[in-house]
Amino acid sequence: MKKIHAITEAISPLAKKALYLSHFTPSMMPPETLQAMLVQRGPLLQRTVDSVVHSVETAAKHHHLFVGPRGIGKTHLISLIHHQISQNPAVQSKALIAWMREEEWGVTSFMELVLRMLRTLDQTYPELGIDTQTQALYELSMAQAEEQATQILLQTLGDKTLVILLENLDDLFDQLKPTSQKQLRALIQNHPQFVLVATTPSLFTAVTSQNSPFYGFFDIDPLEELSFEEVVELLEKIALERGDTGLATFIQSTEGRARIRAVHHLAEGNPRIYIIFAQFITQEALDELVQAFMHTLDALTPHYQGRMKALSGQQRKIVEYLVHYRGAATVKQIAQSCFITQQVCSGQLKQLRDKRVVRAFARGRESYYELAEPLMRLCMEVKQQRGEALAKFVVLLRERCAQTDAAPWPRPQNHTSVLAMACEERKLLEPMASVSHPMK
Amino acid sequence: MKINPGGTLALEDIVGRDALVKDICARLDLQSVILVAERRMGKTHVLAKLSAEAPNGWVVFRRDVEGVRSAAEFVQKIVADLHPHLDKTTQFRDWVHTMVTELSGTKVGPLTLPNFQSKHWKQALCDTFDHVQDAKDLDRVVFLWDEIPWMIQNIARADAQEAMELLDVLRALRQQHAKLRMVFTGSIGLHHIVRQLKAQGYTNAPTNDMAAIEVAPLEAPDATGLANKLLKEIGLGAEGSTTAADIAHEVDGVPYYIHHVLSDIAKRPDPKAPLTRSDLHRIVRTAIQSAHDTWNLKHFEERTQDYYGVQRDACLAMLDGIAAAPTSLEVQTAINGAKASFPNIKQNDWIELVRLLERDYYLLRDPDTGQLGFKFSVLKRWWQWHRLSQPIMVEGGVS
Repeated sequence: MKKIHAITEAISPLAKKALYLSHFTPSMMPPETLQAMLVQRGPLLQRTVDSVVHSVETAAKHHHLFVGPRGIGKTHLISLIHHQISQNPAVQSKALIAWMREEEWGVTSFMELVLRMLRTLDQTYPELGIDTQTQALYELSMAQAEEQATQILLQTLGDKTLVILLENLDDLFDQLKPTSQKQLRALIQNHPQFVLVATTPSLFTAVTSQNSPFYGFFDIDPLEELSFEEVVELLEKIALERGDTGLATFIQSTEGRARIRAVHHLAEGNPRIYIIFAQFITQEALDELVQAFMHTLDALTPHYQGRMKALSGQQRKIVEYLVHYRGAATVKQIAQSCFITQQVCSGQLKQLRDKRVVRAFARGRESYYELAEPLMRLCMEVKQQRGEALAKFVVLLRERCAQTDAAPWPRPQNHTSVLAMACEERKLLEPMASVSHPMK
Repeated sequence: MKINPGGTLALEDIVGRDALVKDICARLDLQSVILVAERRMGKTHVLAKLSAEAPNGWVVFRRDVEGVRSAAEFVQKIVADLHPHLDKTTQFRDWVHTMVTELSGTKVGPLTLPNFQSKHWKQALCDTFDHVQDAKDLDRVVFLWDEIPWMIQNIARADAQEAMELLDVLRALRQQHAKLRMVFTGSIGLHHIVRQLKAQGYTNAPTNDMAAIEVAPLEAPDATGLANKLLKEIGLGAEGSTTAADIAHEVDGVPYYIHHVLSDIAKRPDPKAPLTRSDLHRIVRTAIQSAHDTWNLKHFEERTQDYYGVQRDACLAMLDGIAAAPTSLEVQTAINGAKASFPNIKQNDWIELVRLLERDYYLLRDPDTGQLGFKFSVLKRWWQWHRLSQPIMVEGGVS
């Protein structure tokens, strides 16, 4: 309680009135709020900032790649890295920072990438007069412009280090041809004054294939989902940031923890989900749970629609099947239902695993696949007018979690329990599922 | 010194390469060199050290050429490198000026260099080295070209004939100019690119005048020293501890893996918590077993498709057999094991396959007994887990 009061005292009256929590663009939030909401990633943030500063102060250069699905907190982390390194005196005097936002892509060649770096630097450091230097590039041939743009970049840097913060590196490399990737690596190797700090939703060939120039180049850190205790910590921090001490206290109570455990059972540690959930909870709403949960599902729909859009046609078909099947299925079963060969199905499931959309577990000799995030399925259920049944399911979860301080169906170690949960869901949701199932 | 798996090290942080650099310099006094090694063994750092510590009087140019897409562009880079050293001679200045007038030029920093066209690059390259030969104050000119196989591959994709000619011209220049030395290295073996060119009619041996020098894993004392330095960085380097030696031993002295192990240790919830030998084994085992392949070991299996083509299945059968054996095998025993699955492959082809697997760093023959085993124990453990589903032993039981 002492901690709660101390933090509440420090919160400005403005923050008490309104706390802006961006669900999809954390980079728009004040760094102080992002720092206050940081859980689990503190040591990783500190290590990365230290290694960037070390790269700026010495001839050593460290390159980082953070891997995690959408909503895991990549932009949150990058935003804080940006904030902390921009405050560092060594970085201020010996480096420039180019924060290439995830919305910026459309880069298809090395020259365009260099131009994008120059444009980003120009926006951050207008006093360098980069814009006037780049105007002349458009009069040159492609090869000459490429050489000139590189020279402008190197002259702009002088003896400084360029720290490049890149989001969705997979998208960028997907558009850059291998030759352009090689040109980028050659630039970094020939002029060791570049530091890359990048994110990607999943690992991709350009960094994992031995034939690719960036193979083995990055220090890779997979970003982990939040544990139950970390979720409690996050929600408490958000409540405190909002100045809601009553909610913060309730979150730490037995009842509050039980309600959060019910949500955690479905949200599986994806931070974005809890940040959205936090928007809808008061002490009373958290206790009652159903309305806050249904609002959360509604707000999450664009997130899952976005994830579906990022998948290939065959992958979407598999996900759609698993949504409707509501449980774990074998490769054979999925392949049959999606009218694809088992070989193709295995390949697609592997990619879906890499993207953390599905997860697998073995039972006997068989491997079973299910959606990694039950909320993905439930969001789609809401879309298909099954809100009432879902609400019943949330009530069931709430009651189960209230009885014990453990999860109602522990997962994923006990796979029998995973199936038990699926059965429980089926009992509640099956009548409507059978109406709309497209493939079975 | 900070833990830095995959990144660029400061010169003072490059450990255990002094003798190798001296050896390369001694060899460069006599002939050009190809540096060969498995990926991530530290070839680029050896080049950096060589560049910084070359004997007095040598002029050394180090350049990563993987982004170069044509022979003409390559020649332009060479001229750009040599320009500050040759600019004093009127002949060279006039030559550059004439070429720029004839061919137009590209500004590279403060210089304007000729845009060599495809029909001019050979003559331009030869002319450039004639200027080097004539320059009295240049005694030894050494080009360290990193990622040259990728450059040849880039050029070959656009024009295979040009790639073949470039390799031949470079060889001819090495023969003609006593001052000139070249060091080739790259992430993929040049022999693989030459093999692809041979499939398109190339018949020459473009590097048979160069000495091949291997960048091997670190010697045990150096590997232990590196691990110790990094342990101290996270506050774990206690006097008298065998942890550093254990780390070096666990990962065969490969510096890239040593950095990775220390990175994994530093990522523990309490990095400074005491580390037992069993903890260390588990960290290494977890990395080897990881589906995320954070140590980049899967490529050893994947690249067999590119390296061995139609012989891939035979190659995998042989490696599976050797991985499954508890000890090293006689060469013939290993061949016989694989032959059971591929009886139609002839004995000579099996012997050639063994030779290729040695050259590509999968296998090593014991120099005394001739017995065949995996070159890297890390790779053997990866192979056992991922291809044979065999558990990896740690203290106190299997995984």
